[in-house]
Amino acid sequence: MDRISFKKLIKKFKVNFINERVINIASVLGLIIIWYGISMFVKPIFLPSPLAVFIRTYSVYGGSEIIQSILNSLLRIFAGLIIGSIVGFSFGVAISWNKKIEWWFEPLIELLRPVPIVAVIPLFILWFGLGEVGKILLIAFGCFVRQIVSTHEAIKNVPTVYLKAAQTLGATRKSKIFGTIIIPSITPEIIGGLRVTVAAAFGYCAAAEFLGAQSGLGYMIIVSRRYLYTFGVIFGIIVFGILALGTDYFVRYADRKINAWTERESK
Amino acid sequence: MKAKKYKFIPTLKQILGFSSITTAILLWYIISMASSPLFVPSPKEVFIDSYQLYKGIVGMSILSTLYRVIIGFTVGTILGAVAGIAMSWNKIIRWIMDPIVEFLRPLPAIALIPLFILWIGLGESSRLPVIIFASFVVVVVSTREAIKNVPNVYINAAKTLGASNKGLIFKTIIIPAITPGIIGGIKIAAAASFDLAAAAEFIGAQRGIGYIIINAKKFLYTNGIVFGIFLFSLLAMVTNLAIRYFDRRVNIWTEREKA
Repeated sequence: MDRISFKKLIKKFKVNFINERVINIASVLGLIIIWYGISMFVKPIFLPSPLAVFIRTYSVYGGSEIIQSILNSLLRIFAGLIIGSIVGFSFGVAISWNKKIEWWFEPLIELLRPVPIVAVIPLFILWFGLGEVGKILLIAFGCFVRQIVSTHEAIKNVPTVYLKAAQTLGATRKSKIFGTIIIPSITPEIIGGLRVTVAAAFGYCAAAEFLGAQSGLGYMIIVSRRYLYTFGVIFGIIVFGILALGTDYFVRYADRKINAWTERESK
Repeated sequence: MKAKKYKFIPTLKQILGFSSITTAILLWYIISMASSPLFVPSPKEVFIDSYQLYKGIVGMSILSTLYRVIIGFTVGTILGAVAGIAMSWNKIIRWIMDPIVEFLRPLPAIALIPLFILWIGLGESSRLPVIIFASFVVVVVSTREAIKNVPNVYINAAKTLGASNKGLIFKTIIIPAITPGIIGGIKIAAAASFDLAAAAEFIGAQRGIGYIIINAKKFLYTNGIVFGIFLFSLLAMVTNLAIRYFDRRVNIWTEREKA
């Protein structure tokens, strides 16, 4: 490739890149401006302006209460997420150990999979009351079901070639094959499933807090709705979104670090 | 020559599967006998007694919930697929919509339910927009991903063979290639729709399976709660099977291992 067309290529790339960023930022700003615009025409009950959302929420609830709610919700989510994912992952691995074990558990898993976890919330409230334990268990249960399915799928999808190659090279003990071949090769898929599980965990937490809580972000949203504090509702939603986004970024960062050796296109 | 009649000889897989379900049910019976009906009702109580109690409204409730889910899910999916394809068709549309979609994506749809109730009231119509919204976001994202993942080889090959019109490439290469990916997104959207319908019905509906559950909970009638959960699962399972059947029919030419 001669130098002139190479330079042109770089320039075209840069121009596209800048154009894209410009329009990206412009559309975000546009959204905010549209938000402002609509909020000026409708009553604050329907759509308070972006500024009003934050200022009024802060003045009505006070900084410490807001932070307390956020921390409560985060605690539940992370506790449930960690417990559920780890137990789910272990179960997933255990189930995929052996064809016969897999055949035994498969119908149970297929029956458990379509259950909407949100529908189970009233049952958990009946069993565990309105306290922390019930909510953490609910989120854990939801993550557990998802992780089992996801882990099982991931293990099934390991290319048989890898296993056969390992056996050709002398790996005879199943645990060794598991440790050195299967576990590393499923990590990308597991982390991918983890991102979905994280998003779901935030949803489950919101639902659990809507239905029976005395504290937390979801509780703040429900209380705001009862007092027709739209700004509180919107504030809670945005904070949920920011937290979910942050956790997602964290998982993606961990993904890049752990899976640096995988051959994948960059996300 | 007489045709041979085959006896039903179950495979080991079927035996194991059947016995695991039977064991689960037996365990359920045993646990229910050991604890009060408030905590773990026996299977008989859940299915037979609850059905007796709710016989009148079961049909209407199922239809009510199903109506919400199916309409919301269908509308959201179609809008999402169209938006996803539009975003890949045109750079400008993509640049405008990308941040919007990325902004809407992390919002847990369940958290939006109170907002919609505030806007539209506690009636029927406040539940649909949430389901539409969630399905839309899920399908847009999966459609975009699927389109991005179409191997460039396909497109280049098509161009080599003479396809120059972008519309042609889209119709003949990209759309068929993304069907598996979109169906995957549809499955996720369906599951999310049921979750959302359950949550929306819990927060104050007058009809639907969620109403049965909340009603039962008020009276501490655990049978009813479990019965409602069972109904939900049944609906979700049927929907999942329908989507999978659809999936096989449409994607019969795809080279994939059995899911």
